[in-house]
Amino acid sequence: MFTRFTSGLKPLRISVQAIRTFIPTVKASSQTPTVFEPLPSKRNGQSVMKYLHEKLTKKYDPTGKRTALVDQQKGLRSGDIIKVTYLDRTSVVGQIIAIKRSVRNVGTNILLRNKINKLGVEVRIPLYNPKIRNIEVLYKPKKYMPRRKHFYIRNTKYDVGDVEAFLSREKRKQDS
Amino acid sequence: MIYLKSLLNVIDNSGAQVVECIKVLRHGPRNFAKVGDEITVVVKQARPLTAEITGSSANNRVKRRDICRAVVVRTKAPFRRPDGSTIRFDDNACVLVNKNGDPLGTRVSSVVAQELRNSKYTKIATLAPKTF
Amino acid sequence: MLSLGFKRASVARSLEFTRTVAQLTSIHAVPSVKTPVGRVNHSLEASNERKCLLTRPGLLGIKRGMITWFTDSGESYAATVIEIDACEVIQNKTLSTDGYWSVLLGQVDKLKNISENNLKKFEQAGVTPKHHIAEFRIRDGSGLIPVGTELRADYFAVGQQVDIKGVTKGKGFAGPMKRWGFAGLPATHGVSLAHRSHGAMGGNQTPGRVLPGKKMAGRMGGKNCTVFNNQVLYANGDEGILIVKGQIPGPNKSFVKIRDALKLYGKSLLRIKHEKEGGVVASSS
Repeated sequence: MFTRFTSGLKPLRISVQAIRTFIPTVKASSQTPTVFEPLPSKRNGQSVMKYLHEKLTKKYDPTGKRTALVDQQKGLRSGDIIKVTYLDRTSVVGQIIAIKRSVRNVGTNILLRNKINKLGVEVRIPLYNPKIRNIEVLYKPKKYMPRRKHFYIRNTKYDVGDVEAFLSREKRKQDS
Repeated sequence: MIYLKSLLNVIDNSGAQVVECIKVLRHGPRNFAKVGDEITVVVKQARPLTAEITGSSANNRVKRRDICRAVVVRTKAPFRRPDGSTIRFDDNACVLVNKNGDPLGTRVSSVVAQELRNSKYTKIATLAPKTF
Repeated sequence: MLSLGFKRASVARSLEFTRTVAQLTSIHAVPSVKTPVGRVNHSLEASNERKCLLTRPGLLGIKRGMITWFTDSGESYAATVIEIDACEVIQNKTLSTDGYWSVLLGQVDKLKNISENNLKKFEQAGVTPKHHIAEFRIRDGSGLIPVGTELRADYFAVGQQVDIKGVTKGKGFAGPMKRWGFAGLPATHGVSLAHRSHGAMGGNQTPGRVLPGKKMAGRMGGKNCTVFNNQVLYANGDEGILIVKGQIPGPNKSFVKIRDALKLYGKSLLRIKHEKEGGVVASSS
């Protein structure tokens, strides 16, 4: 129906009426303008944000492990204790108090809380950061606190304690 | 976000316990101090002097109403690292320093932010039991 | 012109008085010289020389939204995704025909509801009719691009700086606190129904009127806005995706103009002339 104008090829002169029948003002005359065919659609016609999201998740999470971690049903929950190890062998341990899931974006992050020397520290870690080597689940409680975001536990009797000490206590309990 | 009148805990053995910010140094008039920034403080609450304390730490001890310089080492307001993570502590804290940037005390008792390692206050980071 | 035959020395020496004929040169005898017309600063040529311009046109794109972008070294930035969809050259404007050099670009193919007049223009260019047309002025003819060429996202190099122009989000009729950042009036101390209004407008007797340009409540947003020196993080021609660091004006799906950073790569003809001559030109940052 349409042809693309390329050098050496003469554009096919077609009646514009064929595609623009809904415009009654155009008179079908010998001088109807040629309408050139649109350029081939990019990304197989997929929307940019969807395409980019799929590409980036594949890049930063080829195995799908990280995405599974923040799955709404089977993934992590506020109250779990995790350990994030970086490529330079440093690591952060803490209890999850919130997971921010972003839509069509690799901006998903996990908010961890811990107590060091009786002082509360919090770190929000981007899940898909290429600097992260591994995310390990250390502890899952039997009973979870209500709500998905645990901001309310800060400085109350439900607050997280020293997570490392808690874990070693739990381990001793299991061993005995 | 440390402004004029912000109260901070002091985590060294200089004798001060609570200080109040009276000036954020080297910043614009509407700006605030972050981790690693120097501020001028006035000591609001200090540990009483006892005979047991001797040596260099005794000379550097500060009293209530003393005005000194301090470096912010922890903030309650979250701050961002280049890798996209944000850090937040449960209190605002500082370490008293002299005009050359050396700490007045000889010990830092609690955790400090990692940003101090790459700043000119490396000594505070090495004194601290843990950086986060 | 009038030369009388006075001779002072002779007067002093002897009281002789000689009178010669007064000589007047006729105006018509003087050969006329055409004074060169002074350079008019308001002329198109002069303004063309003064204008700080780029050597090549930019691109047209569609804002698609913001994402988190990680570099290979693990740094993260907030970034904006721009789609480059069928951005083609429609027309070249030249100095001889239009008085200045520029390239007309169009983006997003549009097959419905185009007037026949416009259809003819697109036919001339040999491109599909477009949704959005914009013009980029360039410094000289060397930057013209053949009509009908498709410009892709990889037109820009990763790491270079670009300026992006768009229309800001319309905020409607906004008060002075939102529109201009005024402090408003106190919450108490007798203030009634005017907590978010501006204060005084100016003097009572002098000047006795509100000066033009006074910041007041009114329509906010919906205006052209350019962000300067945004770094290109990613550019892929096949995918038609351009990602820049930071934020750009306007809502998602809005049309934007992207060009090389004018403050870094732009130069005026006058400046180039001065540099060639080796003249002292105040170096711009």
